[in-house]
Amino acid sequence: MSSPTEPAGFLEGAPLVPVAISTDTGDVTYVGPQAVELLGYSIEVWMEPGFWNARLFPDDQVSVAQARERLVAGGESHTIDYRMEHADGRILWLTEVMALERDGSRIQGFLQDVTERKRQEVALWKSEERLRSLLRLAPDALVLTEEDGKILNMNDQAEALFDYRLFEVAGSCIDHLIPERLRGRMADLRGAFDRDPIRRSLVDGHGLAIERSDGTEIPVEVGMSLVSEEEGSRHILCSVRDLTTRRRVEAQLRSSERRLREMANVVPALVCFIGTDERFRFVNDAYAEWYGWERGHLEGRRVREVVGEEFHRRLHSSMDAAGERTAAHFQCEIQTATGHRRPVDVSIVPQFDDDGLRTGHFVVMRDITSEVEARQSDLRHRAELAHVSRVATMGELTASIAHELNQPLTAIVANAQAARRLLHREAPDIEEVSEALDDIVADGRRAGEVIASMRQLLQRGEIQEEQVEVTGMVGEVIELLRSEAIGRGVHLSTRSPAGGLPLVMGDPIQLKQVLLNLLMNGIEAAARATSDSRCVEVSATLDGAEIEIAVRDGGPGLPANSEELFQPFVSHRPGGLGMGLAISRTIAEAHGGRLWAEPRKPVGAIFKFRLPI
Amino acid sequence: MTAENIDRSCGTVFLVDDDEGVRKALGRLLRAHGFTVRSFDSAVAFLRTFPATRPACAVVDLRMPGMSGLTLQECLNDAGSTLPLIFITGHGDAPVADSALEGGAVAFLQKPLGEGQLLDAVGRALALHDRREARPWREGDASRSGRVHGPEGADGRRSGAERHEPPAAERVAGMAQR
Repeated sequence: MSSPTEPAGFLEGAPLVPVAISTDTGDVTYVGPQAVELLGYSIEVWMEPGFWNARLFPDDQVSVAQARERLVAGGESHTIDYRMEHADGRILWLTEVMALERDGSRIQGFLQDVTERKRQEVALWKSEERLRSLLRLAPDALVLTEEDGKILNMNDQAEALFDYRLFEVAGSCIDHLIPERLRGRMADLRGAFDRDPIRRSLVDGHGLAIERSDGTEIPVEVGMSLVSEEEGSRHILCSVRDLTTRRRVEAQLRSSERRLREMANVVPALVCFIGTDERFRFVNDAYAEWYGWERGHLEGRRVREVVGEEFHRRLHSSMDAAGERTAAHFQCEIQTATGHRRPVDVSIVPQFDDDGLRTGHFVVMRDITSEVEARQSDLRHRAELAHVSRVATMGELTASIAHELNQPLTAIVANAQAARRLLHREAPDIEEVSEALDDIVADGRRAGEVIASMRQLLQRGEIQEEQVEVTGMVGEVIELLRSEAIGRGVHLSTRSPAGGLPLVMGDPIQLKQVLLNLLMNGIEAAARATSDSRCVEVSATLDGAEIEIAVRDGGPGLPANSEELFQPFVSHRPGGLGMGLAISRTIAEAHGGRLWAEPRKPVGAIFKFRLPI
Repeated sequence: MTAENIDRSCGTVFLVDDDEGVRKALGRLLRAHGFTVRSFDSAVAFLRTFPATRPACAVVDLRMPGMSGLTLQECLNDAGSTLPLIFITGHGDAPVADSALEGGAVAFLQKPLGEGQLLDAVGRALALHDRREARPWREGDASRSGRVHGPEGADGRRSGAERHEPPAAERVAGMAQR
């Protein structure tokens, strides 16, 4: 170093201010002329005793004093920063580079105004601090880049994800961390983001991946957000989300879906899942085949477009009905791809997520064509057998029915004869003639009813389901058997509640056939009794949800095992086919009812026929 | 014709049939021909009010609930009644017809009835009743009734028949009570 009183001339033009300070007093013993400009004080002021301490920023006085003491005690030189007050009141940051004079009397060196640099440093520090904590705390891997993609910073998560350290990739473009084939996509994303950074904070990273340092690829989703600096520079913060976990869950879902699909394909049923948007979410092969679609084309399609308006309406209302976590169930006919209508059994099971919200419905349909056909052929056989039995029964009743028909015919003939006679009188009794004609009409109707009733029982009809009024039906059968009972000296009576009975569902002919059989058996049994108990009583009563028709006779009673009466070809009636009770029981059971026999006290039998209402 | 020979206004026809339509129609027909008609819906009802009218006859349905026509005939014969019976039936059952005719029935007619047949039978029955009333009970009558009775019974009835119908009516009414 040259003499402090003669500082190197070249330094005078630099923004460095030479200065020398007494180690004893701490006052300035020399200062370069640039000092005037530095703090706005004249050289004389600088040289005043106590100048330094008076202008030093109070917070920095302790640290400056300590630094200088260290320097005096044996340090060679130091560089410290501190703040001093400008003459105009501004606080400036100064850096001093000082060294101790060999004789220890003073320290000398340079001062430099570093206010601008300090300000920048603080600002940078502050923003970096913010960013660092943000980067550290974020769960995702974050990479800060410049607008062109040059990497500025990344957090620990990003380092772990990419398996690179920051220093290894800082300054290179983020695109280099993307597999080569996807780089174009990444650039596109950045371009799209660039055009509309405000709206687009998360880029759809579908199908994007990164390449780790070892060359492996990891599927990711990339989001971008803009980080503006105070100076107007723009940085992009990229969040890179590892999709591996999600992919694994998705893969699990796919495999469970595949299992479901495999299972659903094994099930001999049409299975589909319909979302709340009324689109197919899932269909099994059988379902797709039924409607003649490729499975892949069916999924996602609107249900209404596929199944047709009619069935859609049915499904829709059933799905509504199945809302309360209960399955709905119905049978109907639906159309196949080939246009055939086939009967199906449909179950609709609502599905709910963990929060109890309905996610859709499973619809399981079963083709029940063969069941329906079997049922129909069963019905047909039953109907045929019942018909044969009825014809046989009516054969036994021919004489009685002829008599029953003869009564109205007799009345008609007699009335006609009477009317003719009355008209041939000198003073015809027109009123009486008119009454005779009225009676003819009534008796003609009566004969017609007997014939209709007989024809009904003889006809080979399809089985019908209708509402049947039991009391009326009992009355009609009694009417048909009245003559038979009289002829065999058996007293027929009926008993039914005054308020009437509820209707039952069934085939009126077959139900009548059961009654006819029971009554004919009763008459037959009673005819073999002593005169006191030659009676048959028919009662119809309501018991809970069933109507009980009981036929009581005063006959000889039942065999030890009354069940054998219901075996086919077991006849207790001369001329009977032995099918009556067997068929009657079949009919009763087909109507959801029962038919059995009980002994009657003191003598006779009771046949009970129960039907659900 | 026999039917035309009698004075119908004084003849009474008792009509016993459980079928209301038949009862009304036959009643109307017989009344149209001038007979007095009284109808009963059962044999028991007829026996209960057994009218001692003369001359009279009964047109009886063979097949009725409760007491049948043949049983009614039996009762009347047992009680010594001389009332002639005409049976009507829907069944052309020969053994039954024979039995009825053996029991003293004037006729056994098939339903539906021919007008002439009915009037003829009724005419003959009334004439018969008229004659039966006019002459005392004879052994021949009992044998014609076809009932197998001992001489004691026939004697008992004869004395009743001689005192005309009322005692028979009393006996019949007594039977109806059983």
